Amino acid sequence: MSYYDQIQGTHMDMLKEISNIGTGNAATALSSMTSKKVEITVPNVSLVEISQIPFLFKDPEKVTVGIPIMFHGDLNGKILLFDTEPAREILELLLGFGNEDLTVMDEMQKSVFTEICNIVCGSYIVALSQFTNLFLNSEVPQITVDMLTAIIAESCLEYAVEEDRTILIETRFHIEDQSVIGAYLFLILEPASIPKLLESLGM
Amino acid sequence: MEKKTIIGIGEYKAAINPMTLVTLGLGSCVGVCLRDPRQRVGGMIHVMLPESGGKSVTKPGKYADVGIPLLIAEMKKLGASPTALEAKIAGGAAMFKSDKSTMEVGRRNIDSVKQILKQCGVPILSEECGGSRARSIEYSVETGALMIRKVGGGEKTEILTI
Repeated sequence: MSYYDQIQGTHMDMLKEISNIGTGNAATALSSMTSKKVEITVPNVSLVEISQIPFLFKDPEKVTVGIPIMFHGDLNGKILLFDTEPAREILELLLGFGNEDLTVMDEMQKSVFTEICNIVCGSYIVALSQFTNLFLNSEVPQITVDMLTAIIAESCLEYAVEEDRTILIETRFHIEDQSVIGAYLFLILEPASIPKLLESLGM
Repeated sequence: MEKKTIIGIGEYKAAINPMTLVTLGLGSCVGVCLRDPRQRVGGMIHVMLPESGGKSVTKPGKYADVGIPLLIAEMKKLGASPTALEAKIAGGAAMFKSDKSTMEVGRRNIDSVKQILKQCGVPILSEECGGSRARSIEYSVETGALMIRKVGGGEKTEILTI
């Protein structure tokens, strides 16, 4: 029996609501870091087949900056923050200069991204923790620049041992003055964490 | 028109020529391509994990140990001779440098795939494994050419054929 079999529409709505609070905090953090207005989309919660991940995106091989951050404690999971084109602009905004080639980032640039992830995802995790009254502790983020599908698939991999599906909670950030919708934030929960999360919400 | 089939993560597919089998975004996963050159029957599997641990599984294609024999059986149904098969493999990268667990998975996937192929008596003609970059692969059942795309320097896609 899969944990996901218990999930119903109301649970999905609840996850969406938690995510909304989390991303609200995250957007505030991103906004104060960049001194730009940051808009967020309503989170999109979906239960997806891991095998179908390559088909979820329009351009699955797009080069993206992926910064997964693990969290442990009462819940285990991952938050991934992606920046596509705006990654360069964010670097420019924070460091004063961009980077032509994101596949060869120096230590300074890498640390800018991990720091953004720490702050943005950190505030997400804090919101999640406060709302559910559960203890969550985040680890140091990692960074990779590679194909979009591979980054997401890789992040779901460790939960794929027991499950064929995963919950993806997706939010997009739109940073003021940027032509493209900016970063994406994905929350991936360990399957065993889902009943704990729902229980903490009294469901 | 060239026929293409995209294989999802942890899935497998056998096909008769003309067909190009494709799988996208192999990180620590390994893409195993099999072919009977005479009968022109090919197959591909996107292996995620090395072993199923003997449990009954809903998606056998995720695991090297159960998935590869199933793919060979599927190819046999299409007329391939199990003794005439040849293999090409790609993947098993360690995308996150500091992450010991997934680095392990990549290497263990490669080891497991090689071991299973050996048990099945399938020789590996060529491989493109390891490293830190994800790969997308396209395998031509007609020629047996395996095209690999990965992100290289300058955010450009590097293409090589093995």
